[in-house]
Amino acid sequence: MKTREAMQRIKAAMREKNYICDDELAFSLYLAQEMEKPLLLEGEPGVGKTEVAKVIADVLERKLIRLQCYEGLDATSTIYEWNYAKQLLKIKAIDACPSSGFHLEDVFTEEFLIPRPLLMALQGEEKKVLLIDEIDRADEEFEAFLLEMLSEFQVSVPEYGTIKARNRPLVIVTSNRVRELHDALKRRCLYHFIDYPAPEREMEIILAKVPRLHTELAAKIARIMNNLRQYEFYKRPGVAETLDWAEAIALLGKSDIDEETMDMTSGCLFKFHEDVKRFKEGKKEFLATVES
Amino acid sequence: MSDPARSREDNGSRSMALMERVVRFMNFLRRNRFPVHTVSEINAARALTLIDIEDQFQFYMALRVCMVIHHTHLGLFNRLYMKFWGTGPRIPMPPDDGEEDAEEQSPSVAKRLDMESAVESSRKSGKKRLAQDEEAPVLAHSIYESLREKDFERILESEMPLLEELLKRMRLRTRERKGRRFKPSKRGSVVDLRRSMRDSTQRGGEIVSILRKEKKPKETKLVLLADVSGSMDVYSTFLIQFVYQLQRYLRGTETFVFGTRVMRITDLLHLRSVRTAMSMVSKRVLFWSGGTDIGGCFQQFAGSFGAKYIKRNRILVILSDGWDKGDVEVLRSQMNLFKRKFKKVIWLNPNLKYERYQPLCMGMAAALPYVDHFLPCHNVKTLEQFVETVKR
Repeated sequence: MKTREAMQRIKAAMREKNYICDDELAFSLYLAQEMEKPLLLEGEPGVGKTEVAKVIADVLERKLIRLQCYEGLDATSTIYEWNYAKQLLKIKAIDACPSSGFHLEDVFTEEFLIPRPLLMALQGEEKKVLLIDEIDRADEEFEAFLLEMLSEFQVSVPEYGTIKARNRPLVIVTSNRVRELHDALKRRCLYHFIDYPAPEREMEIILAKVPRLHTELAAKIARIMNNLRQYEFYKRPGVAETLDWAEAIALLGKSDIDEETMDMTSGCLFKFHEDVKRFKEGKKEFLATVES
Repeated sequence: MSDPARSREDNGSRSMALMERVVRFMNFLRRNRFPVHTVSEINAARALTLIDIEDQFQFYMALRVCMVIHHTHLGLFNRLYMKFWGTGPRIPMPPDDGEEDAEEQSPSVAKRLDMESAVESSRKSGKKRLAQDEEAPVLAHSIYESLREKDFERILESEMPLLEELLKRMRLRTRERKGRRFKPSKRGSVVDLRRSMRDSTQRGGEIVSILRKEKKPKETKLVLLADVSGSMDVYSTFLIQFVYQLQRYLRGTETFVFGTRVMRITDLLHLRSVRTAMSMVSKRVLFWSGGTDIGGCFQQFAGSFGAKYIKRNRILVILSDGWDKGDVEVLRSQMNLFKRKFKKVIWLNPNLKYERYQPLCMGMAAALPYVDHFLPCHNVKTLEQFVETVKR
């Protein structure tokens, strides 16, 4: 029963930090930690993938190192870079004072290395949480040089040697599935897909994040959201949008959701003109289905 | 329990037996076309040592987290898990969460279950059909296999979800070919002397940075002309679904439907779900299941879309049975144009499934000399052939 207890502990601790996490996610996190394997989280935008990393770092009281991916990301901005200016200065210094006993090779030491997020996560004695966010935004080449890092937890610097982690960080990789990730990368990770939450769970999330909201109102919001996601929108609203919306409704001080409220707050849920229009046109229908 | 050494031995042999079963499960997954990587197997074995093996939820999750690396595989995994272990993902739900009533379940879950039951029922009906045909009974896992070779015309409504899954899983990704032109690049292997020199002039003639270039990738783009006249109705529905999948991998695929007129439907196929896309297509295309004037339509296509879409780097794919009520001469001259202006012309004809098929109808006979590849397209297997041809 050791595992189940550990799982429940993670769940409870995350709940304390206002993250409502289900058993499946708690188990995946537990296993990722025990096996020292990266955890790949996939799911629609706004279901709280990034939040998992933040909260788990908080729970484990570890430092969170975040790497936001974008197209064109390369080794120099993610792993390490030599401090060229410092190296040049050092060389000039040697030039000026040849008797210092300093050799040119000595400029390729840790002193001249600028660690970027991936290297930072490996260095040092304390354990860390490394968040590689939205990896699908980076190009495929980037995935390739993540492979060594993710499977061996080491980084090779040609001039210097291999740097291996003394304490393996907990790595969380998130992806919105903008493009398919390569199997080679996926194989090195444990995989968990975060779906939109069920209405009851979404209600819990709303109440945890916007506590001043009435329970019934939160339940209604959750039901409406759940209903909305069944429709075809250009961009379906995620949990992040739900929370914005709940916040807005709480700010307005409304005790119930009517059509007027929906009109006023549509910008919290939808960020495309077509979607807003569709939402406003269909609001009667959305409300009716929820109330029946 | 009194003899600790013995009980340890017992435990050892029990876990060995379990491991054996786990390995058998992996093989079972493989046989059923579920992708299993060796690394995942090792991971799973390791994970099992870290959990309470007796706990069904943990056991299921440990296997799932390690084996399923794509969320669309989850359904298949759950079915296979259920089949192999006799218990299913419904049992391992932990007690505090597992008490939800069916009504309280989120619709997405309900939908999934619905889908599952549809698959289940299709499996049954598939079996029944086979039984009627007095063929050997097939195992459930070979349903995909039999569906692959099943004529689209004979696909049952209940088999649609399975077929969609199958179309989705086809390997559609084409290889990227390098072109001959260069483009500036950070990581290219060739030194771009011209740009390097130019760059150096800004720095007093000293070459500070060596700029590089690489070959520009050449994309294969498809232009699909799908016949949606009455005679082609059944096949077009599937083909457009197929194209929907194809478009996700081949950027720049353009899709047109024709019957008595031509219409571009590329934009509709970018929608999120196949079903929505299909219903939008049928709403927009008013000549669906009407007559055919192939030559006239091609002429119209060349006239209104030709400037933009007829290019040497594109492959033209025509989907039609060649039944034509229009002017054959027009068709002939248009095909001649296509042959010259496109990289390749592929004609997909579902009637090719008949062994003794002869292109006798006037339209087909006229067009055939200008076609590079003449292929069947009546089931998934033949579509795979077609993808191979495109890749070449």
